[in-house]
Amino acid sequence: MNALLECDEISVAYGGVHAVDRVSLRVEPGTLVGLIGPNGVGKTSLIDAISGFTPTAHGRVVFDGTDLSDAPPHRRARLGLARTFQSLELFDDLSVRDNLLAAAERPRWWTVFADFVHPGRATDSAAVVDHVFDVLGIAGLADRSPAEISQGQRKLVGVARALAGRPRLLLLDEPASGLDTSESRDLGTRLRGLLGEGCAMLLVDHDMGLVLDVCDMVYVLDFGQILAAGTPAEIRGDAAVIDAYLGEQARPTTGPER
Amino acid sequence: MLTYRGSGVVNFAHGAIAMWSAFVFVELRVNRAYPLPVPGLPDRIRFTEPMAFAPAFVLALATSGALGFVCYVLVFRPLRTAPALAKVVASVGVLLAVIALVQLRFEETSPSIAKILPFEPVTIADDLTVPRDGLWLAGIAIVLAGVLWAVYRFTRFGLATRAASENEKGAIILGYSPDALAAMNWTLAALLAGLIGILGSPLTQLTPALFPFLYFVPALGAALLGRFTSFGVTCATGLAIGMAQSVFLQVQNDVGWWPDIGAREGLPFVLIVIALVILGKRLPTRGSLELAHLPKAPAPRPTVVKVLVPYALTVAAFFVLSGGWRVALLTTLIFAVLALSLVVLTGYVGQISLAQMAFAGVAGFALSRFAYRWDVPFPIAPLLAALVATVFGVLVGIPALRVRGINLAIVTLAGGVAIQEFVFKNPTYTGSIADGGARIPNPELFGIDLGLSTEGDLFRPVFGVLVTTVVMLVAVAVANLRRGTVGRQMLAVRANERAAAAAGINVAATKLLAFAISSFVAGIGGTLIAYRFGSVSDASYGLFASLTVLAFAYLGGITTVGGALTAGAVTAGGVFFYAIQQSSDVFALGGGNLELFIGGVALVVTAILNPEGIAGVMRAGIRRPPRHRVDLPRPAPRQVAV
Repeated sequence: MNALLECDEISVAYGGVHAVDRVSLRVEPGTLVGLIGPNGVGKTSLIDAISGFTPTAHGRVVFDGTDLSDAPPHRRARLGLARTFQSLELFDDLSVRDNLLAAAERPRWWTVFADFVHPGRATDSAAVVDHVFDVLGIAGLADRSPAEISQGQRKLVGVARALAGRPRLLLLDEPASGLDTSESRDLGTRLRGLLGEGCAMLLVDHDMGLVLDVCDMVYVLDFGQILAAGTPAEIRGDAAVIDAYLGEQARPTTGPER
Repeated sequence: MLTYRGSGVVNFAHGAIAMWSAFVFVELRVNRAYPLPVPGLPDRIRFTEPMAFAPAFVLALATSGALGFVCYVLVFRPLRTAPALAKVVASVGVLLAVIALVQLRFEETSPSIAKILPFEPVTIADDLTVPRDGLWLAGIAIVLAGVLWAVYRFTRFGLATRAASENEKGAIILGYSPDALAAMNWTLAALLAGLIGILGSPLTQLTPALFPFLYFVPALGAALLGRFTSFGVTCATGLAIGMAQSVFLQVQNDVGWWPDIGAREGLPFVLIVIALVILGKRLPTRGSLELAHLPKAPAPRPTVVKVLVPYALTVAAFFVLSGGWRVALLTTLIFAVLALSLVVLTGYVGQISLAQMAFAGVAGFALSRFAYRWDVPFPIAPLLAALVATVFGVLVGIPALRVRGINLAIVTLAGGVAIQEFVFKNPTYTGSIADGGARIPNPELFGIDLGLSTEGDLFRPVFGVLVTTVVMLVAVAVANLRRGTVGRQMLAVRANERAAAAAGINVAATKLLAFAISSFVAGIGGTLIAYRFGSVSDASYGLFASLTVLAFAYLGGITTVGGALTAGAVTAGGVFFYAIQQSSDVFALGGGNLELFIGGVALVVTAILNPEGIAGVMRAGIRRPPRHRVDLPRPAPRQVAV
């Protein structure tokens, strides 16, 4: 089966430090794949490498059969590889709707001339944006400024903006950070719902519970390398993961046998 | 460079401070007086006889140090956390104010070299030849760089400064006051600027409009190459540029005043730009997030009434008003076009350009070529000319892909200087001054002469109609741009380049497009200037004017069309100052310099207190009451569970 995203031994180095060291992973179409690991193991560096924000020292990123290794970030986004940011990075000068429109619209060379004459003309993008609002249930925020809504709402707007570009794969960088357990579970449900929209996801988080609950497939990252990969059930039972990450609290059920 | 270290600000006013102290020095030595830098107070303190060299020197130096200190305390301390644009604008404000002040205070605005030179051997050398002066100056610069390096490397003060520029909070925790450190560094930097100004002035001309740039632009280039932290590299680059330029000066003297000097003078600037772009990734502000926001750029809601009523009133005004008012109105409208060019570039995309007037000039000279020499008919010739300006705009904009903020301001300034030196001073492109510059025929459409002046009539209203129409079209286009697809993407780039790229927006293309549109609009402005005067020379589009354009555009409100129109109204020579002039004689005496001074001060105040400009204040005043009424009945925001 052809993977939607295939990372082939990619490395990211800052100076002499290998933040990501020969990581390979695959995302199949229509699946929700999780990537977990404690803070500082290179999760965001990996997302940056996949989305083109940081150069890779080694390896290839192949998206839907296209080698993206040399493509700048905006081209990757246009090919259908969207991402969110841990710090959200919304366009604070634009309304929520305009945030989404900016991501949805793909101007052609003549767009600027059309804008001079008739800026308010109807486009397909408006329908796409309305659809995204409906899917995430945030239509009420459309005309607000990102500066005046709650942090939880801002997170949803961040996801919505990424979705507005009609991606086939969405890279989510710690969408649950700062949310409590129930909010986090609710987010998981919404994300599963997005799979029906034909959008696969790579969910990066350090919230073990969220990732193990909602993902079809999980990678565990430790010190820049893949420690384990498998279904959530396999990860829960993986001795190396338990040792390195789940720690002592998880030990009692498996510990005595060893 | 010292300033940057001290407070993270690149001060465009440095050249101005250097100039002021040089003037003070000359004044003390020659005219027996100490000029006071505040208008309203008595002009100067007079002495009975010329001051001896040493006290005059010390006093002039102390003045520059004090000016630096005052600049920091009054202007740049309040702006510490402001965006780079506000700092640039504030320092441009200081520069304008000082230049205006020099022109107000000193009757002879370009004291000749001969007058100062006899006093100079004391400081410079027993050998009087000019190269010897230069050598001494270079020697002093090297020694200064060495001393500075040692001070910053080995003393507690230097260590603290470096610490504070790396991490302000850390320095506070360690018990140093970053404020005091910054103030000290500012004073020191101003002292040095003053020193170089005094020592260097005999080597060059002390012309207010020229002097600050002569030293400042190459100096900034050198400081940029030294990455604002290395004294050695900065000094070496500065000397290299200086030497290259003085060699050119020598060649100029041999060859005569005109032929090809533009090329030689412009070369160092081009080299700076190229080096900057290559080093782009390593520049200090690259990639660092701008925490403070630019002023808001609200979406305009143009309606037929909002557009046509002011249009009709303005057109009517041209027929009703007298000649002087017509000229003021023309100045206002043409300036508004230039300000609109910055609304696109700075207001929408957050890029700074100090080369707008250079773009306008390119279009002006191109228009002369198209319309006068090649007989291209009216609406086509100015459009083609503006397209030529667009090409230059994109070229100058290319560095913007790699440099940001304050560095971009410097690069565009260097670009403007390069255009000026290469193109405007080259008679091959611009025609010779002896012929009255490059001529522009009156615009003519369907056999109707639309020009400002004909044989018998100096201020024809029909030209006003033409200009008003152009301004209206440009204003509507710029307002529409904000509301459309491209405008959204521009604001997205302005807000956050990373996020914009992640959203699939081509950041580089968006910036270049903004430079293209902006320089096209500036080009249109340039052709209007050309049509208004009937001929253009390099003086029509001075470098100084580029600074004024940015300054007044910011003052009016750089993010909106309304702001650009306001900028036109309040600019020097515009309707606002004309009205004041009509009502009082005070301004007539200043000969335009008082406006410049007030403009400079207003600019500083605007940058500190009110980043949205005059139009922003008026908008807030108009909108506030209804906003409350709208807010109350609005349903509670829908609760979104996350």
